[in-house]
Amino acid sequence: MDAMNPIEYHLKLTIYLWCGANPNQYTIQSQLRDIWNTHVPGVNYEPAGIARFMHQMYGDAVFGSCGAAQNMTQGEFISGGDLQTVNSVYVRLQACASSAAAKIATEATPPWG
Amino acid sequence: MRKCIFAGVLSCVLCMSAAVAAQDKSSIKAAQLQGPEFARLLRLDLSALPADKMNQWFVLQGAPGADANNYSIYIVLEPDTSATQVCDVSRDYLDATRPASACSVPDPNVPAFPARANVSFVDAFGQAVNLPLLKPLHADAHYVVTIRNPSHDSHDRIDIPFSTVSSLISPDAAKVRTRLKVNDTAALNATVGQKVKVSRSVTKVANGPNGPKTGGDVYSAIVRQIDTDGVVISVEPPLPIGTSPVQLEVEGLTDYYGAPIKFQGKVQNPPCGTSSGGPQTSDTTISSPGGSANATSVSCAFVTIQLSAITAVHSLPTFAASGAVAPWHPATRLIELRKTEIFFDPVVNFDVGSGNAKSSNSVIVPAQFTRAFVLGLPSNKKKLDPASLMKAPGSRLVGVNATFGPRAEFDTQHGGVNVLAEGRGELYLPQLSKTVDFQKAAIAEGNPAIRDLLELPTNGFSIAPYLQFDAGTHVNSQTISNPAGTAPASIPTYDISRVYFGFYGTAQLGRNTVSLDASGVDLFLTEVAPFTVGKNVDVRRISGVQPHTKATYSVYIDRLKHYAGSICWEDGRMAPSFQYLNKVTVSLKVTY
Repeated sequence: MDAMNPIEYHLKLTIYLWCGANPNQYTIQSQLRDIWNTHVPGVNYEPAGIARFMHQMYGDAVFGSCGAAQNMTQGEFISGGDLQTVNSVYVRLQACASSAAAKIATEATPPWG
Repeated sequence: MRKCIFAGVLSCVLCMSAAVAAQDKSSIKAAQLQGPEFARLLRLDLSALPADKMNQWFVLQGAPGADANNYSIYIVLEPDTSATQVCDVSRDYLDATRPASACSVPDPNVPAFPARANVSFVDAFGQAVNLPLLKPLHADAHYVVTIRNPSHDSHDRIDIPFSTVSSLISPDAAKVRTRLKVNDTAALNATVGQKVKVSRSVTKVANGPNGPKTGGDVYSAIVRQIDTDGVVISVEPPLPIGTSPVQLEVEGLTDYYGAPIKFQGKVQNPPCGTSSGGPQTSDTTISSPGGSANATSVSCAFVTIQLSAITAVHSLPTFAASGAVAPWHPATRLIELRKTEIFFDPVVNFDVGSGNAKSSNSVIVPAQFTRAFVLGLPSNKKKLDPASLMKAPGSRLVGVNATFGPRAEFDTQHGGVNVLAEGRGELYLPQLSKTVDFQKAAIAEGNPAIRDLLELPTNGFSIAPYLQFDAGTHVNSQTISNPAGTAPASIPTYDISRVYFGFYGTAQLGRNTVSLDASGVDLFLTEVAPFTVGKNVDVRRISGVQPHTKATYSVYIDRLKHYAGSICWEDGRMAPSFQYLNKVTVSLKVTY
């Protein structure tokens, strides 16, 4: 089995920084609203949790410069929208695999090296 | 099309008779992601595979599913007849070094396929295998992907069927009338800006002898973006989608070999709050704690009204209405200010009644801007690596809902107007927030498969302390005339400075909800408010700490919690009239 791939790592990191959820506490099929509601009391997932998730995602080193992440809309995270589970976001973010590879390559070779 | 492509191979098919077993056909689903990067990848979804089989075939060291050499692709010829045959086309799709079989897949106009995406072969987190292909699969053909276990006999294998399956959905709940999304298990050859045709089927009832007529409307549409999970289409003019489903059809897209694919489906406005199992009780409360600030939650509900009427012998009937209207309350309508996480969420609270009703006779427009803060979030200053991330402690945090902005108070009986600046914060501690939503989420977070099957908790509670500051002025000086012989009541303009402190608690037990809002307001400056005694109007001057308590018991009548019988006890003084109230109201509460 392959080790954690870059997209998986950056998504798990985004979720952890978003609401403090450890990756062992949810699964790929978990709903984002469940993860949020478990860890953040009193603040509604719609729209505050969604806005925070997108803000956190845009701040990520890989997703911040990835079109697939930038194309996501708040309406897709709302009930009835296309992005409800970790898996749905993960599949969408697969398009960031190239930018993730480029990012890793950049980090491996510093500009002064 | 299929016959055209494979006409030359029918006579020399490698017959496997019925050897392609039905094993695990339903457990693994094969599909291609969308976008040129993924046109040469076949994604096998393993999420429905039993854990032991997943370990045996894909996880353990040396697992056959982790080696691309153990995969084969067969094409199914004449799938809908008794002469069904399968033919090994692994050389065409998987590995050009595989031995030539008796058949091949001629593609006279093979386009130049883009490079493959840089993704893992076995994706542990995504519970999938990304099988690299030499070229995309045909949308109009049927295939079987086989994984063999080389250490066992040839019968030990997994067979995964692949056929084109298309779907049409409305991806964005906020743009349900202008956005559609199509997906297909085969890769779609779409480009951004490409024109497609969207048509709506409609049956019109005619009273004539010919009965109902089926017709349709055609909309112009273009491909707006290509996501990995589908192609997003922008439609103009907006579709007539409401609460009833609308039958739509999308044409104009093809696979990479030019085979047209038609998409059909029904789309409709999603009912609010469905993914949480119906409207959330906490969400449907948009009355304002303390009768002052905006609601803590933004929700599906944009109108709550409580109506009451009392009549008795020798007395005039009394009518009263209180509630709130929040036009942008449904999350689909919210306006975020430039990705600042600040939302514009105006609410109008009203409490009005006929002349002898014990209402505060006010309309209040509280602060319109909301911003949530989460305290105690982890930071990434230490740059967590994957191993540290998995060991990082999970946490429950502290939520703070802040509202701020201008506030206006209107005395609907005597015409006074207060204009203020308002700031308010509500604190949600994990120990005091055991709502139904939290308890459901806590179970569902780690057990998504049983999320919709369990009888989840319907009991919970939440207690939130709050602090609020209002400062401003009474903007209009008033002279209210009285009957002859009595001096008019005179109210000058004056400054206002108030601090509210209190808590808002709610408990839910099935369909029963009890809420309590207990607060005190400290009036730093004296406020002047008119009140009626008999037929005369007099003024009262108020300063210092004024307590106010409101307890409400509601029982919902319907399953969707739109209608509730409600009993409310209220005691104390509230801005702007500061009339002392000690009343019990029995009412019908309507929430939409």
